[in-house]
Amino acid sequence: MSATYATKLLLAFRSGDTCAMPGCNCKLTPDSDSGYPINVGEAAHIAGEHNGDGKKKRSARYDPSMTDEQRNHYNNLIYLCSTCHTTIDAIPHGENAYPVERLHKIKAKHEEKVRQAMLDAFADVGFPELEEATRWATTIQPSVVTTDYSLLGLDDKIKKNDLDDDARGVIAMGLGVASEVSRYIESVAQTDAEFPERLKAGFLEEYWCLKKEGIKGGDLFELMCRFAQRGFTRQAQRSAGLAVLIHLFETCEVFEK
Amino acid sequence: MIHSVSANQPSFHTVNFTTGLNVILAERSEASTEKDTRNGLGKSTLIEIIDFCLGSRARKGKGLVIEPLEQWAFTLELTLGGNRVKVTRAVTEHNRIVVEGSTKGWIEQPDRDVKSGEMIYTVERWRKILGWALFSIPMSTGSVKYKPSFRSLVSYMVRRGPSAYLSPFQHTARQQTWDVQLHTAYLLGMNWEYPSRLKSLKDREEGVKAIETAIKTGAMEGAIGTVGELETQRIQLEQQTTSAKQALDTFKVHPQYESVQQDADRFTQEIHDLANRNVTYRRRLSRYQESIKEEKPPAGMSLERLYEESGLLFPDAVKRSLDDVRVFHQRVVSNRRDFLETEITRIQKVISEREEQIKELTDQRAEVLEVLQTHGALQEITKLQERYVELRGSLDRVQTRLREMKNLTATKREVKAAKAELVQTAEQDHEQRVGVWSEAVRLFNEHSQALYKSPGRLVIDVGEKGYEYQVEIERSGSEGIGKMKIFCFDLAVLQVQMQIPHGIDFLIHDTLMYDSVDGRQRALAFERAHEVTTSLGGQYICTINSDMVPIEDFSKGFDFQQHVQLTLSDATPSDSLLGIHFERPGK
Repeated sequence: MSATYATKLLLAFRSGDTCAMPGCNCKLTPDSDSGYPINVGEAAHIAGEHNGDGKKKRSARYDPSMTDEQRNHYNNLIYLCSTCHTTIDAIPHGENAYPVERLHKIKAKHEEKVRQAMLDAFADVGFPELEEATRWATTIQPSVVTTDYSLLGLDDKIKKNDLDDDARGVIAMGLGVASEVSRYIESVAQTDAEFPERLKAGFLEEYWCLKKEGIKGGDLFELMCRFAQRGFTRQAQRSAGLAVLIHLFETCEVFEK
Repeated sequence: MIHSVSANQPSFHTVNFTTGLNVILAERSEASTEKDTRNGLGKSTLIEIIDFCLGSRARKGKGLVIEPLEQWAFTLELTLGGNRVKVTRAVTEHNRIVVEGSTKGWIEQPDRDVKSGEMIYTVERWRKILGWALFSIPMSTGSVKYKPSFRSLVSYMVRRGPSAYLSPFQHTARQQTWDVQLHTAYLLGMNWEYPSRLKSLKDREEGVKAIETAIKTGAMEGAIGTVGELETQRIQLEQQTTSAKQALDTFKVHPQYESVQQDADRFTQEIHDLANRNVTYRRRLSRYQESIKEEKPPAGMSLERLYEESGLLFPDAVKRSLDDVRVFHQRVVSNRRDFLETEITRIQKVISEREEQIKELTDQRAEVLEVLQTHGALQEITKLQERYVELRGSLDRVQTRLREMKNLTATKREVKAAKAELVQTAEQDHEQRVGVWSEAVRLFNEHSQALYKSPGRLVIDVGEKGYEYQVEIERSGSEGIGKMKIFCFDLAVLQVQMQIPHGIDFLIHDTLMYDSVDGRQRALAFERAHEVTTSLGGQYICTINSDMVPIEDFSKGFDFQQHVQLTLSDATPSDSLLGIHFERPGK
């Protein structure tokens, strides 16, 4: 048993698709020849996975008091490149150099840094970034035109979708550029009338897909965030993707209303 | 006066002695060769027995203290300190001297053995009694280190073994200079304290030299320098010690110093975290505020006007739908504004809460820092104490060394001065006692003249090295004359001693005394010894081999045979002194 795909995606998102090891900075979603980004990061166990009884050797930092569920939980995983993963799991030197507490600290610090960078990058979101962040929508079949103009207050919507304060912060920052996003979508719609519907269709498809997997609440929100910024390496593009998502959230096109 | 020598074994040949000359004759049987004869007869053993009873040192496996004689005990009957007593010393229990007869008037009385009822002295006490009775050595000579010892004195009067017959002034070749000077002076009635004090001064001199050598060769531990260098070191150490003491005195221990320190670190960290978070929050806040300001009503739905301007009819249904859209957009914007305003309020609240927290933490940290500044950890005071003790130790060492160095110079000067003074005193003293020692010189001259018809000289000098003794007899140089110097000296000493109360009254010589001495001188020596001792009431005891008796050379009317107290022979073991045959270890 290992971590679920969703857990891994969440980990990749929160780590900014970058190796968490200080000083490594390795990008973990390089583009493939096909043009699609490929995830090469590894969800490394902080406290080891194997006790050494079976065919596999004992894992570094194995803690017999933990359950397998705890071992594969988001909280026990850290997003690393394969080199750093090998390094921390080497017995005995890697294990000694990287005890559990140290890895927890590294992870927390890295995630906080990524989050901060993401929030800061909203300031840089402009039409060029939005253009790049929405280019994918050109290949999507448009959805049915909505005539439902019902709207939910933002706080109510946050509550209804069971979002936490972290998500709230992202939404607030995204709202800061929401008018920019509206203007951009309007301007594209003048030449491509179906563009808003295609954009919406793309997000909805992913949204229902994730929902079907049973993901909900903050995790669902964050995975949608990751979807919004997939494959982008520049932080401004990534935040532009998020801004689009939050625009759709605001206008109740995606998420529960 | 020795009256007799006996033993507890019937085979022993008891010997009786009288005043004057007493001879123990050793006869050689026809069959025996020169070499293996006489040694086993007991001449030397007799002298050994007398010495044994006079408290000689008993060493297991040596002399009489050997396995074949385990059962033996020897008895000396002698007049001592006014009493005629019998003293017995057994081979096995050789630390025990049994005294029979009155010990009235003796300075120390024997102990009564509870079991046997015998009166006994330990050897050590016995030597004291003998020292007092035979040489007038006071019972207590105070704390003087070098003083006359009975055993050394008596060894001149009972000379044993070849090395006792090398010089008049030595009873053994191993005798140290001070020992020779002191005991010879004592025997001749001179001031023995002079060599004693001289030796003590020499000891101090040597001590100083040893320290000096140690300093030069670096054998002494610790830093060694000149007095000046040490003074500098001392001043430095004193300053360091004083400041260490001060630090120690003013040190306040906080029992939880380390946890307080950790608290301070934690406060600092928390304050930093809070401040950092507030910076990002303020940044966010200003962004929210800006976006609210920028928020304008959605771009006018100019479609309606567009239609009007182009003269086209705007359908009602479309118009209603457009109204919906307009309302929708207005609501979106107002929702956004509401949300952001709430968010701004919330963030402002968080920021001010954090500032409050920062203030609180800063105050707490200040308190903790105050504690840290005025207190120290327990380990620190221990370290401080260790350092202080170490400094004190170093200071003590340097001070001691300084004292030593200063003392050294002072001691050197002092010893030199004391020596000069002592020599001067000794010289004066020597002048004043001229009457005493010139008597010895006179007697020595008389004896040498009697033996060689030419005067001999006993020279006693006082100098920086102490007393220097020399004896001269003209025509000297041959071994025989060398031996007779000893004879003359010993006889003179006996005479001097017999003139003082509690002076020794016997002189014992081994047959070694007469080796290579001319027959004529041998005869004269026996006659002289007899004449002198008889006139004073003393005794001269000697052992001699029968073939060395100068029958031809004796004066008319001197009956040598009359003085022979015992004749020993090697014909059968029973003719020997102990009357048994026994093997000496190592022989």
